[in-house]
Amino acid sequence: MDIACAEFRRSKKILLTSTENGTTEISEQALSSLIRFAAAAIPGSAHDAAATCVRAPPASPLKTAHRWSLLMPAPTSSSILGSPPLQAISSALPAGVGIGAGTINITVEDLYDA
Amino acid sequence: MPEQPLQGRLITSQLIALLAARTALETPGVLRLEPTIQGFLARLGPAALHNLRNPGSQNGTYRHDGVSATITDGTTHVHLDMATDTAYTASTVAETVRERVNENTRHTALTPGHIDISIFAIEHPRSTTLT
Repeated sequence: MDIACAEFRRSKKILLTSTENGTTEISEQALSSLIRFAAAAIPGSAHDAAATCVRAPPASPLKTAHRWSLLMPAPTSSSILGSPPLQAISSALPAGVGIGAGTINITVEDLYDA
Repeated sequence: MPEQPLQGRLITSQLIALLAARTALETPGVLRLEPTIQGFLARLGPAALHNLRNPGSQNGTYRHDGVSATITDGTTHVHLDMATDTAYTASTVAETVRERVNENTRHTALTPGHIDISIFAIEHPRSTTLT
């Protein structure tokens, strides 16, 4: 079962670094989960499982400009588009992986009463 | 005394794989090694038969959960599949693992070659899985 779960996590791998000593790759799903988790940490936001994060275009190199689309529900009581929430999401990748966040487009697909 | 002396083969690919796995797991920020179906199937295939027939062989590839090691002409090649802690920067953790495995491999008198690392998950330890 552990093997099956790991294979699911595998998804697409992105080359992070390549040196003469070897390469480092990271699962695209691990990257998107970081963004989802950062979004979930915003006060009043829904659980991270409610958010969907995809990389676009998926096959582009990570070192170049990369874009993410985050679809998430948001509470009516807080401003999801304010600076602190955006900053928290955009700093997730530099802190967790060590790469620039690129562009993260947020689509609020649902509003609910917190 | 035999006419042809036996060739010493103490350092096997299995030993290098286990050394790399232990080194990775002892590195701060590494939560665990990740098994993969590819590695699992490889262990059941011809490589497994080779390991059974030649347990002391230096050449060949040894695979275990999340780690594989190959020795070719005295040079090691290691691949690690692992999960890292959210409290650490994944690329920094990978680089630290690479340096430590490199250093420990040198202690075996073999030449460390490529150490490829795949990060499959970034998680909080003992809590939520970020997948």
